[in-house]
Amino acid sequence: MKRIKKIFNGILALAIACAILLISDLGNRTGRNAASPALKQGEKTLYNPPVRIAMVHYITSPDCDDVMAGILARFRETGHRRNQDFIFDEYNANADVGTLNNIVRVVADKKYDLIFSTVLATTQALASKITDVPILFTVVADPVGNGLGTSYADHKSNITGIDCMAYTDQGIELIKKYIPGARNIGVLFCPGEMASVSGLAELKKSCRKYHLNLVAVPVNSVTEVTDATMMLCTKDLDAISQMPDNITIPGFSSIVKITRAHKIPLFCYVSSQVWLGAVAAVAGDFEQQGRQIADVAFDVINGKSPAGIPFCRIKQVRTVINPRVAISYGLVTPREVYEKADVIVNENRMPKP
Amino acid sequence: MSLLIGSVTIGLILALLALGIFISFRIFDFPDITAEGSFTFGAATSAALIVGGVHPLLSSLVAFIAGMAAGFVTGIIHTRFKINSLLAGILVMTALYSVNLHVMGRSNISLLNAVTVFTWVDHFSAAVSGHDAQSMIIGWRVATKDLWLLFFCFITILIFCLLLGWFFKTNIGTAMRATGDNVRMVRAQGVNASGMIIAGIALSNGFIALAGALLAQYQGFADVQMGIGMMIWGLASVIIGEAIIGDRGVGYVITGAVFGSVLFRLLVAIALRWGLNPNDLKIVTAIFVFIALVVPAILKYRKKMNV
Repeated sequence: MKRIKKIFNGILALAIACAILLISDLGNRTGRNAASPALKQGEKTLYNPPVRIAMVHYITSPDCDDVMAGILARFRETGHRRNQDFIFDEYNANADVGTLNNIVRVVADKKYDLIFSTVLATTQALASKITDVPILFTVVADPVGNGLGTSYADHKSNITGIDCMAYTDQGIELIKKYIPGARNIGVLFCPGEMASVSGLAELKKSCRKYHLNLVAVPVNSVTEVTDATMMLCTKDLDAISQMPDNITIPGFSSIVKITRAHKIPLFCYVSSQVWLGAVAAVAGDFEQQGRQIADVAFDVINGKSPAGIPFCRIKQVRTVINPRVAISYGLVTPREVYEKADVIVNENRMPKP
Repeated sequence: MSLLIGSVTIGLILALLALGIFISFRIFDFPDITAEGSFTFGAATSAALIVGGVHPLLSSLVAFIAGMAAGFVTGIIHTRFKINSLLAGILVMTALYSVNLHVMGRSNISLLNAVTVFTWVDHFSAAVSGHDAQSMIIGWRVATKDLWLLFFCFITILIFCLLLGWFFKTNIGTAMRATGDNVRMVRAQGVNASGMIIAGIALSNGFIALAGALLAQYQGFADVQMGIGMMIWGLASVIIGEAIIGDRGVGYVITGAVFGSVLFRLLVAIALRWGLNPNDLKIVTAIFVFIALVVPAILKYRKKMNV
């Protein structure tokens, strides 16, 4: 009897949890009060306002936050009012894969009109379960190599997005302008992050193209950044060309401190890092990526199918320089670079949002 | 309703993780941190084999064996080298990060276009119920393939629970349980206690690796960082289960681990469904778990006071 009572306790607990979930889902019962479905008109899908959008993150990180800020800024600029023209729900798995799978189920259940995703794991998890809602990804490097399509133009029909690969050729060219005799370039990378590994491969190609040697030191967590940077600075380097990833972005201040102490010029690919103390950047900023993917979203909302939108790279790339920091590394900003720079940072402070 | 079905499905897959942690934590009183590494190891092994063209069932079996190997190493480090159990687990977990990168050859393997065990369930569902078939469950329309998926996971977990319950009633299983209760006594009885611990931790990590393999196939990718935090949630599932079902026997605790895993996933789904600020998700989940642990104790206390 006691045995049955114990099992009954467990079943009761589950039943209560199930009931709470079902009560919250009463609106979807027999389609009553369901969100207005999108209407298919030939190849086009027309969305009724407010357009319901989900933004799904896997982790909390500055790059993902910047993407979201860019998306919302672009919606505002184009006159779309939040909670009137569009509903925007944010989800974050907090780096837990079990929670990510739960979020995918919630997002699928709520039948959004459009989903933004950041980071590869999120996009893969969403793509595996949701095939009838447009998924627009950012902060993903090499989407083709990671199974999201066979080419930029030939990909899963409900998925499109931005390949966030840095422009390493331009980055190396910029270094060569500052340091024409440069031979050895250093970089930190995270072996556990596909974006970082893909970025490293691109940087290797670029270094080979310009006949430079690349020294790469692995770093696996933010707490290891200081040690890894110190290790990197013991090598015979002319400059560091730091790719952005979820380890080095949060730890960038530490990288600046150590490279400055060792007088190894630091170059990067994110403009905010130039404000933090890098010499210069060929920056395809995450906030710009957010704006770019928002423009893609407008195309989708206006009826274009994601199947017909190829993956693309970051369109707006800016050269951001910090002449004062260059001096602290013993460098003179070349006139050509100074005249062609898109942004010149005069003070060592963060830009206004 | 489809959210409910999905959450229960995920809870059942992760019940294997809870069962693994039940073996190490409850049977042997061994706080085994290897779980975070072996979970990913199972996912990595399975994914690498699947994209290499290996049968998904075979890849899952190999993942189970791979997990057992990881647990075996932890057991050896603890019993033969006399290293503290926590530290032994940490050592193996740390080493497995590099092993997993080598196994996958990269930090992430996509299974979106691969044939997995869940692809078969989808094909089976299409063959039996029709492509894109839908069913009505108390007024809610759900995809029939989701129901088949739930059924498949339920049967799988039921089989494993019955096997595990049977195993711990055998001589070897009983010796393992006795080793966990009183190592000195079993040594005095002539049982190879170290061997029992090694075998038990190996079995535990086999289950955990299998959970990783199935989750990777379910979610469509394996990632080198997917094991982070898994041990905590597995432990929470075991403890929730014990709080609700009780711990009077192996059968109770096994059942409790499964119930706890499913209940935990339902609690996360409830938190998400209510549209919480994403930054508050973890603290709210922790509060839910706290309530689930405390309520049975409060009810028990009140019953005692009334008597």
